[in-house]
Amino acid sequence: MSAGFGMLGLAGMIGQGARAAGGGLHHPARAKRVIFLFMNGAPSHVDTFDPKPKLRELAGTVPPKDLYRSPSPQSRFMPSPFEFQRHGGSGIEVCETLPRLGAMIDDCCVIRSMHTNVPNHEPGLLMMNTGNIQPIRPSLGSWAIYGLGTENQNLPGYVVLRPSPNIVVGPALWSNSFLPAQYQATSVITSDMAVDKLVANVRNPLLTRGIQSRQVELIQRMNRLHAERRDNDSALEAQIGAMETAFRMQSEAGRTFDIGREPRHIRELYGDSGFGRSCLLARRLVEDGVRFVSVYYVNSGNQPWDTHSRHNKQHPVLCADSDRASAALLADLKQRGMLDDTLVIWGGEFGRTPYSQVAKKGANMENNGRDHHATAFSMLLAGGGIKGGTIYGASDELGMNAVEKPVHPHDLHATVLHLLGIDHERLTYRWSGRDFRLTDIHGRILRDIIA
Amino acid sequence: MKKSIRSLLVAGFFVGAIAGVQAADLSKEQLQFFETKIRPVLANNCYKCHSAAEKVKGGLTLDSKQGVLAGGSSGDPSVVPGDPQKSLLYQAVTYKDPDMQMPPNAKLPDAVIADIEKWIRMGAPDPRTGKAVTGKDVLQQRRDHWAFQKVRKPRVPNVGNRKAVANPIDSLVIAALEKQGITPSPVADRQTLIRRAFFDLIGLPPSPSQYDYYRNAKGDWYGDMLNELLASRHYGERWARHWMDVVRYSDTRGPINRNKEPATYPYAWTYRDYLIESFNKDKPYDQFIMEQLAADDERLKLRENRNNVLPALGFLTLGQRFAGNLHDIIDDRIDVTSKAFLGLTVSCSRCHDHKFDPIPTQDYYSWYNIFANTQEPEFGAERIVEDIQNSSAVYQDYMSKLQGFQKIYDANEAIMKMSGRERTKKGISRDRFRTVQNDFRRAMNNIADLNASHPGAPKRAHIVYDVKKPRDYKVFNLGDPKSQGEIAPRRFLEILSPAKRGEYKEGSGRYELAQDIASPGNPLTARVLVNRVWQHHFGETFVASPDDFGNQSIAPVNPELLDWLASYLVENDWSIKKLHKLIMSSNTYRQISVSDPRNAAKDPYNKLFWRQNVKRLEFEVIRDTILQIGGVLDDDMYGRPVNLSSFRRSIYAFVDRNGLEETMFHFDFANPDLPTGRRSQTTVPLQALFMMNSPLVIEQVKRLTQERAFSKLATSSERIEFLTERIYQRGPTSEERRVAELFIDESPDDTEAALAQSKELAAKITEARQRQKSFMKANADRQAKQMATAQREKLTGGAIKDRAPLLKWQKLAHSMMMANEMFYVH
Repeated sequence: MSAGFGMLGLAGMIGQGARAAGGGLHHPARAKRVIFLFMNGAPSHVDTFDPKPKLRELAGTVPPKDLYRSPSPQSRFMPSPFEFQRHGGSGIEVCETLPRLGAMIDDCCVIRSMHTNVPNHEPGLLMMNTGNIQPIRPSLGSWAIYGLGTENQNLPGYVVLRPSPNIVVGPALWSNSFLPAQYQATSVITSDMAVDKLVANVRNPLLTRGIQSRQVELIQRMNRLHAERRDNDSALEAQIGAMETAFRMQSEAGRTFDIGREPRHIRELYGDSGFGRSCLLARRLVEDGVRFVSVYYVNSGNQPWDTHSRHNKQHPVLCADSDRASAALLADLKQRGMLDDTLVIWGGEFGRTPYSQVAKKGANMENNGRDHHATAFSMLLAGGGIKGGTIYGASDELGMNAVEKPVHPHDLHATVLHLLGIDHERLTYRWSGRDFRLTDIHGRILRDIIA
Repeated sequence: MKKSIRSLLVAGFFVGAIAGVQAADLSKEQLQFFETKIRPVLANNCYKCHSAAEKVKGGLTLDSKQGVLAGGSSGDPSVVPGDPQKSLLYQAVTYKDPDMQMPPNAKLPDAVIADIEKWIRMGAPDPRTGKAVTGKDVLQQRRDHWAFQKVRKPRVPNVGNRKAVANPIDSLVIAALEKQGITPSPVADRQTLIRRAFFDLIGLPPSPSQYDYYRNAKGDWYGDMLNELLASRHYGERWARHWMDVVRYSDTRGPINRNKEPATYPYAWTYRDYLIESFNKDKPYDQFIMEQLAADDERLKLRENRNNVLPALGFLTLGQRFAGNLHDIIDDRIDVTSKAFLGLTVSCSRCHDHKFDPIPTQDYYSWYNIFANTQEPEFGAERIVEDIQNSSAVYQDYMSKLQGFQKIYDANEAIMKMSGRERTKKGISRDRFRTVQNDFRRAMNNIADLNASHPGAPKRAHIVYDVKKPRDYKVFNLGDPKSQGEIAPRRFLEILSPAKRGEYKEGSGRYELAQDIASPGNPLTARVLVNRVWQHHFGETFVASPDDFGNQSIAPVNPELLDWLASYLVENDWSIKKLHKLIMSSNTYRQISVSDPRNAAKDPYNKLFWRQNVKRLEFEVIRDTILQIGGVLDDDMYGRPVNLSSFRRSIYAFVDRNGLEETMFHFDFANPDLPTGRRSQTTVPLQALFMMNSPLVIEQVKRLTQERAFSKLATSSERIEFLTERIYQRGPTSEERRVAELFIDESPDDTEAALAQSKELAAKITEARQRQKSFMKANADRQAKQMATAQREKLTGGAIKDRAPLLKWQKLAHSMMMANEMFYVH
């Protein structure tokens, strides 16, 4: 018994006691919460945030092998068919398929020099989500709430939203792994937004609130009697609070998870798509004190952004949907004064090749796709202490390799934890005879992007 | 970089006798130079990897004068006073040799390097005194670790308080208590002992008739009860589940190579059934080990048909598949084998040796080679482990269903086996291949699902067998297959072997490995098991980390008792049931679990077992208990996995590592990807929500109060008594009676009022749903929605069936099920 609750005690100490001024664990926090918008399958950097005019010049030529591991013999450099436009005071160029995010660019930092270990989905997803290419390690979100505890005791601290249960890798992406179970994500499938479909057992099908409240009163009396006979064993004390919390949670979660309470114009702002509704729900959750929300962009396809064929047709459709919802989220947070301390991250597990993947020999160019690309890609960060209107790092002129100030997911993780007031080198958990941390022995804080 | 550590440090440890400047001789200037220019540089840049207090990479310490002069395992001093060019330390910081650059992350500033050079030229003045910890000391410390010493059965001590002694466990516990001036607690009352023994051994509360019987039984009722429970078939269901935590059991594979295997393990359940049967039979633990590692080896003597035993190999095969990465699959097998049986974390040594760890990387690759020479049948060729009744209707039905899928599978298999180049040669286009691939994968999963669910599908086992020509491979430096070191022969761990270590020559070496693990002389095997068994009887352990007895673990409490029990286990033919009986017959086990302030002042965490602990019940026990209270528990044994909406015991539920059922997750179910000797115990509101609102609880409450035995009771007092006995297996206290009666008295006259309220509630729920849905247009992804609904149905078992409102007695019973006592055993 004491080990289990001893663990809780430790967590309690980390979570509540030992905070630095400003709410961080080790130093003042710039961000109080995080929303990670994850584009499953990997969006193309040269069609979103990393313009490459040089590709136009070289269109149709064979990519040299010394730049990137061997593309297939039919592959040719493939420029984005879309224009990039300068936006805002910063004049950062964003693809015309993302007009609304473009309009918000002065609140964002574009990292153009991301790179990761392996251009395969599973390891790429695991690296970006858990800092390790093999399962199963605790996710970024689990580490974050292990470090910070929950803000609202009546809601889970870490929530994962996805419009479909269908997702590559699956729950290992948001696993608490060896961290104790209170750091687990509550995973919610958002295809049906009725509250009792979102959260299991959130509502009693037969008992009214009035009756439940009498029951809770009775239970607490019985628990007291029980604890008195047990010499008020501390383990039992821990359990006693849970019932009342659960009782409150029913109404609180019922309210928070109900996006039907949003006015029509807000719902329309986000767009009526699985991803749009999930983004809106994400905002409601962080507003009510959920610390970490991940929204995975999946639908009936388990990785919609994996455009190996018909890229130029599919990619803009995905962009339009994601652009609308993501920009709505930023604007909505900003209008509520929450963007300053809410970190929003947008991106996928890697990028896509600047050259084509040929769908069929001699087939129409329109059917071509882009393949996985791990040596350069882009991510967008906004709010939560991020310096807006900035570009960090660069890929080469073809988007093949990150050349200036390369950023690995470990560096991104170190930076996210830093913004939350956590020192990634000191947030450790002893398991299996050694201390583990999210960034293993790596991680560099990107101080230049912090406001 | 990789070589830098090596060339700096290879082979042999000795403290060199090279004279530096003696501390006493240091001038003020020298001292100041060292303190301002050198010590901070060493401390900030080197100690992290080279100090007695942190790490001793390559046997080198730089936090003492001797360490600096001695150098690391290369045998050469890192500093030769007066001669920077001969000083490896200086060579390393200058970054001139590409193979030896320190610190590894970034070169030191030139000014600092100049200071180091100057310091060495000065004769390396160093005021630091104190003993250096050398690599040799570290090795000796590793070997001295208690867990690697032979188990010696201690003499059972005489204790002052002889009356409290029922068996040697008590003597050994009381001896430790007496040293601290602690007195043992009295034996608990009969009702507490009944409930405790039932939950401990079979994971179910006593049935009403069992409860009545043991409450009144005469003579050695306690011994009789233990015998009955140990003979119960439910015993295996309880204890197999503990083992399934340790062996990361799952019915699915996690990330897979989708061209080679389906998402599920269609026959994982045959391993689960093997475990249940083995516990019920009280299979000697050494045999149990042998079977799980080497059931396929003909040298292993069996008293039963090998087909019964082959599923044991699920121990190795049922881990996650790491998207088909062989190195990771082997790593998982090394991990589970070393943790489950030896309490060692061998897989930590995959990349490099560790400071105080007893397992060198070489050992890791010795085991790696055992499993690299072990293979599995391909999909579809898993070993059949029963005689098929060809003519049975159910088998015929299975075959006819199988044929459809098999046809598609076979039609596409040839193309799937081709390499990309072969496909190009044969003119198979990408589009065509994609179609083939999709059809093939779908057929494979259909076959797997059919095999997992159809009662006529032959019983098979996920076995392994040895490769034809076993061979040894080299160590992968830093875990990287591209950088290979020396050959690592297949053999046992250095730390547990005699000086002359034999090599495993026959087959993969699994059989020999199993023998070395299951040997009575192995200092870990029996201790680790005893610790596990004790944990499930006391909620606490001798060694706090049940899967890690290594050098980093905390030393055991009462090591004498641990060793005595380990010896007892081995002497008694490794019988786990005898171990239970002995433990549970002790007064130590039978103590009350209520704290005592005087004892608690001396041992607040009850480390010395001066009382029993309050134990939190696991998810499976809570669920099974709810079903038993409602009288619907289906006590069928064995077979294919079921979903949680069934009334079978929880051990038969489908365990999906791709998406663990939410309720299991909320109730601290063991993570099916990690060997878990000890579940975490958390208290989260989602657990309370489950008890408050889930159809499972509500429906069982209704059933309980609909029993005739309840409805015929006339008085409130009798009814309260009935509910308390059925739910808590004890009678109510007078205060409880009062509280419950008050609740009943104050409940509004049932039926009509309740009906009205219930209707109102239903209307509200419908209205909210309408509102939430109203803005969802038809373009919502219908397919995704259907999948989600299917998933939810699978998880929750659907909506509540009986929508009649809860009456006041049901509300009372419902409340009692939610109260604390439901979740604990005292």
